[in-house]
Amino acid sequence: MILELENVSKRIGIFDLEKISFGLPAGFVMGLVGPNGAGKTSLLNIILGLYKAQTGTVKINGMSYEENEREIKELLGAVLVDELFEGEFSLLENGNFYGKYYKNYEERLLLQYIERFHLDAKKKYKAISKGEKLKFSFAFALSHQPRLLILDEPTANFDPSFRKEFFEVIKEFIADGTRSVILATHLTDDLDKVADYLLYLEDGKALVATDIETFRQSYRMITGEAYKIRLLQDDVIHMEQRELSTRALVRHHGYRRYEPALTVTTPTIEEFMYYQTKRKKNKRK
Amino acid sequence: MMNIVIQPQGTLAIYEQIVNQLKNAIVTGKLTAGEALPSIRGLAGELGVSVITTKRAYEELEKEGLIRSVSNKGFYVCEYNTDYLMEKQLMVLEKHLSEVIEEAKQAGLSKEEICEMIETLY
Repeated sequence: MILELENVSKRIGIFDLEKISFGLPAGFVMGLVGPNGAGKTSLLNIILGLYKAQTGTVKINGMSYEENEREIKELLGAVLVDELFEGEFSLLENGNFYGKYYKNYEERLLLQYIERFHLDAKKKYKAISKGEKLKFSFAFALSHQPRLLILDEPTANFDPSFRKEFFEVIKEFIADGTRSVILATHLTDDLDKVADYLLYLEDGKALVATDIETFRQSYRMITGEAYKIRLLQDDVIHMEQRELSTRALVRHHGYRRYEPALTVTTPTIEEFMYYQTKRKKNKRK
Repeated sequence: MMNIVIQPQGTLAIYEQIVNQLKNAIVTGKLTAGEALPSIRGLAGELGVSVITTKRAYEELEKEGLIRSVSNKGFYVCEYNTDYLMEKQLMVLEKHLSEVIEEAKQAGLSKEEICEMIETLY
């Protein structure tokens, strides 16, 4: 396992991350999703060692922060929302300056990615756009050859063609089966295609923490007449009734056959998220 | 090499779509015994699906004895009795057809009318 969390809890102000447990083996991509304020960034900060978990254990490649902080930092690469680079330095200067902290940093790799992402190595960091800053941050993370790449909402400022390129790079990154990626994002379309594992957070709890195939097997989207859907009783997580069609997210059991009049599909991550969030709002009322 | 077409929003799970199409390729002889399959990671990249999904599909085919994994080398199509496979497919078809016939009877259709329907649809 590249990353293993067991019963990790942490209180931040009035917010609680509660008993998060999951494992991510080498060679895979994990999608981290959930509504705003669900605790995604807090969880990433714990994995990065920026926050300390109050209880539970975090292991990276079998090592813990208490004993092997230096070794762990070598294994991690991150693209975060915060800007960490020096505005007055050029991109290349920034890379070489921060690259000193990593044994495996290679200027050659940084230049390769800078070119591939259509950036200009000589430009000052402060003079480039928001999207370009993210691209550079991504290029830098790759240039010190981490084993675990942690990406917090990187795609939001990417144009569609770069988003495609971005996922190509992710696939290349995990291709040899020794490196993994955690990707926190609201753009779940891409996750449906690339994620091997899914961690869905809501109010600091992990509602889903499993591989994507088990996830797809555990839920169904059902469209049809409301009274027929209601017959599924407790398995209905949330039903949205409209004049012409009623749709619902339901828990699925392997043996279940649905009535032929109902249209049954596996949910996309977005559908799952939408109906889960609706259910939560309903409960509050 | 054969073509695999994935419908992301189909009623069949993506791994099932892969399983079915590979099965068909083996039954129809597009994939022959001893032939190497693309690697799990290679196929995932090719189809634009998760690695876990292709892994699941191969595991399913392995369980059914259609392919086998050779450690560190990848997956190969088994020496397999394609007649037996064909037989199995026919059985599935027969089952579906009896269901159709049952439903048609309930709707009050005659044998000729069902045949006519198949004729038009085929």
